[in-house]
Amino acid sequence: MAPRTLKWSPLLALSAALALLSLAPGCGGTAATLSSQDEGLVVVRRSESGDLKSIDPQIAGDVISSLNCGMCYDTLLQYDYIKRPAELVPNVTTGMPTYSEDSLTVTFKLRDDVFFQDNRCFHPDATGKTYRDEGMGAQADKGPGRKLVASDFVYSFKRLAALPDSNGFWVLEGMVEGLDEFRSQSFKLLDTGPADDPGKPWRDHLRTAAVSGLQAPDDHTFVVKLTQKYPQFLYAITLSYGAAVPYEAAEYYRRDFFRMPCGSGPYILKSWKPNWEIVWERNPKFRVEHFPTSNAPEHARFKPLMGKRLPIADIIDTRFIKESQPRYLKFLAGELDSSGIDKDQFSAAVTPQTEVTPALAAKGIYLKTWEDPTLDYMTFNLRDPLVGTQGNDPARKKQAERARAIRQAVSMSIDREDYIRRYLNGRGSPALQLVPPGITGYDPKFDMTSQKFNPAAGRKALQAAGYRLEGSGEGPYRALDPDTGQQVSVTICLRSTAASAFDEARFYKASGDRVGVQINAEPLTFAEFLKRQDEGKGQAFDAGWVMDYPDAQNMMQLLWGGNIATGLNHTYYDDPDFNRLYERLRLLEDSVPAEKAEKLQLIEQMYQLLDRDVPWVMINFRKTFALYNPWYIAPEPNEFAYSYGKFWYSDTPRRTEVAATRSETVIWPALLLGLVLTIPSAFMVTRIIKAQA
Amino acid sequence: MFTYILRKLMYMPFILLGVVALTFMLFTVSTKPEALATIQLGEKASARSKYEWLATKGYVEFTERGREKLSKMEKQQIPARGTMLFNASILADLASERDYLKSEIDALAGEDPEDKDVKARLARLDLRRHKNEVESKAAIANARQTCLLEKAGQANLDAVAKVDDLGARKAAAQEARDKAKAAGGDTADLEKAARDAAADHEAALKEHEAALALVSRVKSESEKITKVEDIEPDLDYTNIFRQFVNYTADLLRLDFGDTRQGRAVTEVLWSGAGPSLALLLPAFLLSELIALFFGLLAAMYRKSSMDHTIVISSIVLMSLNGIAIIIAGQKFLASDWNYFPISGYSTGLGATRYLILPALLYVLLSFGEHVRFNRIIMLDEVGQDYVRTARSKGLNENQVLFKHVLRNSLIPLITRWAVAIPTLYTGSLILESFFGIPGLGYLTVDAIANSDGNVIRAIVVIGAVSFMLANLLSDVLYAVVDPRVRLG
Repeated sequence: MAPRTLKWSPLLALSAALALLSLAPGCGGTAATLSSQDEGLVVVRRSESGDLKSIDPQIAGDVISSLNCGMCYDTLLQYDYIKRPAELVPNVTTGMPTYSEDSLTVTFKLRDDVFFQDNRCFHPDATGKTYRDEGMGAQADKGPGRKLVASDFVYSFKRLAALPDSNGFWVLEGMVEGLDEFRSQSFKLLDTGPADDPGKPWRDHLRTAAVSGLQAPDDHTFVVKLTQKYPQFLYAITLSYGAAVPYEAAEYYRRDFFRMPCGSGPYILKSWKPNWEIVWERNPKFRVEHFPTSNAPEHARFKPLMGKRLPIADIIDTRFIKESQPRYLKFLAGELDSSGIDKDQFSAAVTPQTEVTPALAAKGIYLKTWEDPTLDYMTFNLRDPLVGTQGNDPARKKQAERARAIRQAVSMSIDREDYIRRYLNGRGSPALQLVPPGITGYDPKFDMTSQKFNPAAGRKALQAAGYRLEGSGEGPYRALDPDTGQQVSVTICLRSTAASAFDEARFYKASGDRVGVQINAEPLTFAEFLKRQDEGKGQAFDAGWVMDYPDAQNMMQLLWGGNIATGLNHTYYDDPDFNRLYERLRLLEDSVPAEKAEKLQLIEQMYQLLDRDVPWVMINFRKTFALYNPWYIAPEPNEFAYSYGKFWYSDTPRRTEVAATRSETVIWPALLLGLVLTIPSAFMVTRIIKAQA
Repeated sequence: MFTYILRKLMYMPFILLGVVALTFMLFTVSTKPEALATIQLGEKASARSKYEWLATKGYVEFTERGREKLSKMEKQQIPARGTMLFNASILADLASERDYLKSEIDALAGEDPEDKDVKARLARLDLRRHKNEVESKAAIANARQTCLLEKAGQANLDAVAKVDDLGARKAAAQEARDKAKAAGGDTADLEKAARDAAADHEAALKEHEAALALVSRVKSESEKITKVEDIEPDLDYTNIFRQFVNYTADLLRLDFGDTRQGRAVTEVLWSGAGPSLALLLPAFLLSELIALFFGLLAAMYRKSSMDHTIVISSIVLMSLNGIAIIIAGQKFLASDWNYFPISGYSTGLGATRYLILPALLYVLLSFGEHVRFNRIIMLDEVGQDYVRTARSKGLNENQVLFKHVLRNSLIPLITRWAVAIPTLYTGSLILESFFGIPGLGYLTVDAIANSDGNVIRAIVVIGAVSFMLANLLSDVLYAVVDPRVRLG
């Protein structure tokens, strides 16, 4: 072999650079950097696991978008911050609305001191122009925000109906006089204008067309005429869909309105970088509103805030962090005030006694848990011939009995306690009825027998329906079809392909073995899941329902026959008795004692029907666990409210102090790493020098 | 060379058309328009809202009958919630499935009914037939109900319900009276109740006589709907060729439309490409440089302890799970030891501090694979005659390696880079996710998960174009680095 000599070596320089790189710490310390930016301000730093889609209240349909709309926009009413169970109170109205005798006309009286934020759209120079005409440069030159008046709500409700991309029209569909007609007319006008402004007819129609059910007789009076009794109306319009937007902003920003909000709420948008962060700053023109007072011991933590003017925080900075590890690590480093707990971090954060672990407690981190008004369940497709045959058709009677037995057996095979322990780290409670705890209609005495874990009874039901059972003791069992001799097999479509879906699949399979039903789970992408559900192609579907408002009707509607056509009742459950009871229940108000009593009776009767028919397998009600840093006052949980940002408080100087202690650089690993890289580098250099020699 | 480039460029539109056709097929086959509408409008949206949205997007067209029905819904002559809109294609599918199942079941009639396979097949077909029956029945029932509602109106239906209800009460009261009579008990109260019920029923009958007459006329009309073919469709999917033409025309205009959130796709891609390139371009260059260095070193000192160390290190790094390396790197280097920020991003030069750790981890993740590849191609070259010639001419090892071996190894390297460069803009999903870098990697996967057709289409088309350009560039570079390669 030829002699190998190197006269110079760029390689040598590179190896040295590599070794040096390991000794270049000092890029960290983000918490300390952020704290220095926060000086003199009250800054709340939080995170979200998903991205923000829109800050247009009439478009926003998801929780993150609704929360951000709540920062900037006002609905007529709001949820009381500390009173529980959740109760509606005035927001921009002088009091609660009044109803006509027939309950079909609702009148709201507006406050006189509510103003929209200063914005370019109110500047006289911006008249007749659009954001795209003027660009970002002109935005600094703002006009003074005008007073919020009743016609703003008329406009906003009409806008909810007119926007084709809005997913919130369901709250008013068929309920307000003339609104559906207005909507259809609006759709016909989409893009019908001249080439340079195709949206003009649609915008003009939205602003000027009258809707008989929405009236503003004067600036302070807003009247809604309903087509039928709608007890959930006030809850529905307290969702972000019912927020007031000024027509000037919607017309000026047009397609960009979803990211250029202009409302009368407590905060103004400072910056929004998609997939990254959103920063809200205090609206200096926010009306006079104070933190509520209470002497209840459970509200003691709010004492320092009681009576203070809202909003409490100057800045609310939200980071969008999809992965759970960096979110949790940032929380531990003091960069975030609060954190949810992912399955992977659960054991490091919470003890089996539902307390924070000593390591976190030493840092002053505390835990708060609360019941979430969310039900996780499995819905059968009652149009499937195997699991869903229903009705009294004599030709299919036997088949219907068998289908019911399969549903009952599957439901009784599921050990809900075990599921919650294994897969939810105890974050939930077994669901044996539809209405979650804390909502009128929940009562332990309503627990359904068909939803209780009882594999022996499940097996018995199958045998009674004619299935032949093989197996003994703890199983596994096989329920055989008497006609074909094949094992009964049910496939559940799961709405996720994440690792947790496969865990769920294993759990269902093991459950089915207890009663002899082979339960196969099919994890699907969300889009595919929706497609299958829409087409009714599947025997059972994994499902979850987050209640929109605290009314049992919101849950019961999912099994009402009238909702089959709307797509809400994916179960295709259509029982005449259940429908009759629901149609009465939806007209009853919790606030009227006699109606509440009747409602409870109806719910009990509905449960009896569901216990007989088992259209769903209820699994669990969710429970939320959240961690808080010691400088942050944990907010009062209310999953229905999206306008609580103005109550949040973080002791920023204390955060600066504590975060500094949590972000100290550790030197020894860098030295060790340097050494590890330097030794081979030195070895290589020696080798090269030797070769040169 | 110029002619070659021109010729290659001329192929591009055809290849692009193929890509466009492929993406179009994938969208139409994988996601039904109704599912797209559900994704866009949410699960709570009514069927009517969904179809109206699909009509505004050009996926469906309403028939005259459909438009009439919508108008009646607007005027609240038929309920907006609870009335079905019938899609011609879905009705046709139901009918053809029914006929197919019937023919299959008939075909099995001649087979041995005791045969286990025949029994099982029949059972499966029967299940499908039952499902078809249930769906068809539901559609027919809704069509009949809509027909009644449209023509007789809700008030008259209420009248029917009232009369039915009072009739049932009357029958029950009379039955109770007759039973009591048969038992020989006191029937005075029951007689009275039966009379009252009969009177109520009579009154209801009179009160709604006109309504009943109308309903019965319409009822007989509605009962003519006995199979799915009798249902008049309200809408149908837009012709697929027309959809394809619209789809292609949008692409030709470089109009990728808006994302589901209403942001322009081009703007989203543009804002995401910066962070993705800021992370991956330096990381890619650094990793290639380091891999070249170690690949050369290993080839030069083949079979020495240095070669073994490099190869073993490469294999160890290749064996480690990438996500584990990222998780460990983030936990220790950023969180526990505080050398780097845990995650985040900033604009301008401020981004550098956030990019160092993910870039280093990228280098680490790609190290093994790249070094081994480079070592192999270098070894191929080191054994060539021209290397021996160069050494025998007295060139030093430095010149041999960098001037001759490296240059001749560039062809396979360029091929690898040409494949890698177009993927740089789509970013690295995992690194971007873990380090909160707002790049294109996450955007792409998010778009796929949410069936955001416009974003997927844009990424696929841009990917195809950049791949073709990179391929062309690699061809040109072959000619530059190797004079033996002639383009033409």
